[in-house]
Amino acid sequence: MKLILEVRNHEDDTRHYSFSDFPVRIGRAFNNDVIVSDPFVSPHHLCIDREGDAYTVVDTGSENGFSINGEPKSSAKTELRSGDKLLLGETGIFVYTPDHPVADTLPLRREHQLFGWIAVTRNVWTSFLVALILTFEWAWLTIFTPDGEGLALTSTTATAAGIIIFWATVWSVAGRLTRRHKANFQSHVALASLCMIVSRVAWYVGSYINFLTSDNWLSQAVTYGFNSVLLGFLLYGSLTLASKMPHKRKVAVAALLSLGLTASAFLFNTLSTHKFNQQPVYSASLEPYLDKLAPTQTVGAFMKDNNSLFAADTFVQVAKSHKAAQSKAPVIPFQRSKHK
Amino acid sequence: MRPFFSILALLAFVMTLRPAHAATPDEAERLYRAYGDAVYQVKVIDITSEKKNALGTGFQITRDGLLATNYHVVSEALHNPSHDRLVYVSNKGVTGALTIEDVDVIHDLAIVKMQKPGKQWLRLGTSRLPKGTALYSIGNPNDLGFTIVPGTFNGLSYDSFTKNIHFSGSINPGMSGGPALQRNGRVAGINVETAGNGIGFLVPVEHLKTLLAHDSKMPPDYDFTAHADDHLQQQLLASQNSNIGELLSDKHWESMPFGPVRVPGHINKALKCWGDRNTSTDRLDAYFSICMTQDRLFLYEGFYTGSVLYRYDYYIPKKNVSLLQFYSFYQNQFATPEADYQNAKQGDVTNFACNSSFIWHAGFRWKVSFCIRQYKLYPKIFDMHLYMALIGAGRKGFVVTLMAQGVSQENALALARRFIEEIKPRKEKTASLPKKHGTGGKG
Repeated sequence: MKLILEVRNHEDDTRHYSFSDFPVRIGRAFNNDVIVSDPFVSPHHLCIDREGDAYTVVDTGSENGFSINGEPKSSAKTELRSGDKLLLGETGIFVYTPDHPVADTLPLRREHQLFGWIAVTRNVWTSFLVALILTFEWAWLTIFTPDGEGLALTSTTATAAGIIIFWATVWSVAGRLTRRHKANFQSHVALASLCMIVSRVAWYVGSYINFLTSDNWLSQAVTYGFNSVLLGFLLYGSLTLASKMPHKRKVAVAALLSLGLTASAFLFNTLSTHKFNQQPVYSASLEPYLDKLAPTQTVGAFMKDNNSLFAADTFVQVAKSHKAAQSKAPVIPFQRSKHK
Repeated sequence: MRPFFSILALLAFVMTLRPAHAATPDEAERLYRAYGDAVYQVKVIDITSEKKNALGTGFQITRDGLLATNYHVVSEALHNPSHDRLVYVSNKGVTGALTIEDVDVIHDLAIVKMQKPGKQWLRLGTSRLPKGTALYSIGNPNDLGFTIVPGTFNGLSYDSFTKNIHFSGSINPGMSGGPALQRNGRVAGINVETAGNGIGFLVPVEHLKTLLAHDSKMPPDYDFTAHADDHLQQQLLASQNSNIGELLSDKHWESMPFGPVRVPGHINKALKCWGDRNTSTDRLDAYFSICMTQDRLFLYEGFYTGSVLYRYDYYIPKKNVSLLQFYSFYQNQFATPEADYQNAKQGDVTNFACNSSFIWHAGFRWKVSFCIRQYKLYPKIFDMHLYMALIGAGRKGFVVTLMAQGVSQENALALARRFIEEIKPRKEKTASLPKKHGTGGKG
């Protein structure tokens, strides 16, 4: 019967050997049956032999010894069972008989056809160009500076291009490291460009929602929700291009990261409203079109809503600190509750 | 440090005292000799370092040792009694402690009690004097020693809610709280403020009489300092009731055409109005008109109130500016209104709370925001701001800003409502109201 040795070096590179003649000698020297290029392995490290139906392993005078399934072994002969893991130096050797069971076959997961689309060079640079044109168009339509917008247009477009290239570069370097020589730079460019196109369009929609709803909770929720989904999609796509993570883990990582970032942005905004601010913060978004969709109130109804602003709990959140907090005096002499 | 000390600290060295026409040096000398002993220097002493951190003047007004001075001289000691204390110093160097008996924050007056009453006190006279009456102001400017400054009575200022005596004579830092005497030695006013170049302001003595009467009604052992917040809140409420009430009770506000609508113009003498073209960019035409009160009520260090301001900004873009470009400018202007919120610090007020909406008014759609913040020590008092931006009028932008500091809930709402209602369509004829000059309506 054959014996199969699966040799894994410290980088998890795997090689399989199959033996029917014994003994099998293992070591760093070139006259071994299995040559292990590991500096912590001795020239003649181990010897595997067959005794009847059983296989045994013995240390042949190694410097660093070895272990079986994590248990250090002395030079005495030890019997092997199929599936045992020998560790010598930084090299692992799994011992299998041919009838050793293997894991179930995993279904081959096909990536979404989008990943095929963004691998095509023509699509990549088209989407990149569209993203830049949309950015330029947005800047050209909306940016107003007192002395003309030439510089602002160039810098906005250049910034958009820079962001896309930077994102693609970071991920393709990461991909090169984890997937070895699969940088997918162009696909990353296309993915980032598509996300930028979507966010530009969404920006118009979002600013109209802000305008028409006066920045109420609904428009806040839409903004946070949309950004979180878009970021999640971008992260999922980038992970797909740059790693071999299983589907479920990619979804989990992308969702966690985007939700985490959105939550921290929300938290930061919420906390900053609790800080003292001399300026009033109010809905100031104005848009030139669709103003007829704005739900108008009568002056009376507006003033009635204003009246409810004076409710006691409106100011609770920032009313805690007292003027003594900023004076050097340790004692607060004001006892207003007792007298009137 | 104190409002009027610091502003003029420099001026004091530049200005020379010029005797006014009606006065003769002999008269001043006689008055100082006769009444100077009733005037004291008031020092605010930092308890930790035992160094003086502010100076003022006071004068004895009763036999039992009550001194009158300015509220702004004693405010630090009133709000921080564990940090600052008050002492008086006579012109002969006698010193003693002062306790605060009563204050009038609106008219900037305070009554303090001397540890040991002095022998002389001044009689309170009247401020109803003919224009040109000679007055002699006594005080201790810049800690240089007691000074008597001759000048003339020039009537009451009419361009603010608080009517003070316009005194032509040099009032300098450190003289705050000192008396201004008539020839007969009676007090006509209390030094309070200077506008520089020999223009000074005095609090009419009648307010001191009212405060003295109020003080005499309080129990002898009443600890005013412990209840100062309640008193100040009451005074602020009463004052804004009278000021905002005065505005609201006027049924006919001046209306002026500005931009696409008619808006309130110069609605009260207490406000000053002006307007101009904003020339910061040649890519659009920008006009503004602003009206504001001259009142700035000092509460304590870094905390002022009492201003009323309204402002209109009208924007018309030039042809080379697209509508979306114009709206990004317009939105930016609406988000950063030109009103002053520096009147209070953290610890004095809460953050603003705002309600935003759309209204249909005067033939246009407006985006409106109404914002208030509460005074922490005086919870019935608020700063109110109203912003309105015209929308849907194409290449026209119009922003209305209304600010009222230190007002009650009722008055904030009533003033905002009245103000919105006074914005009217331009076509409506208001021929019954002749346009007054100097309101600067353009557009």
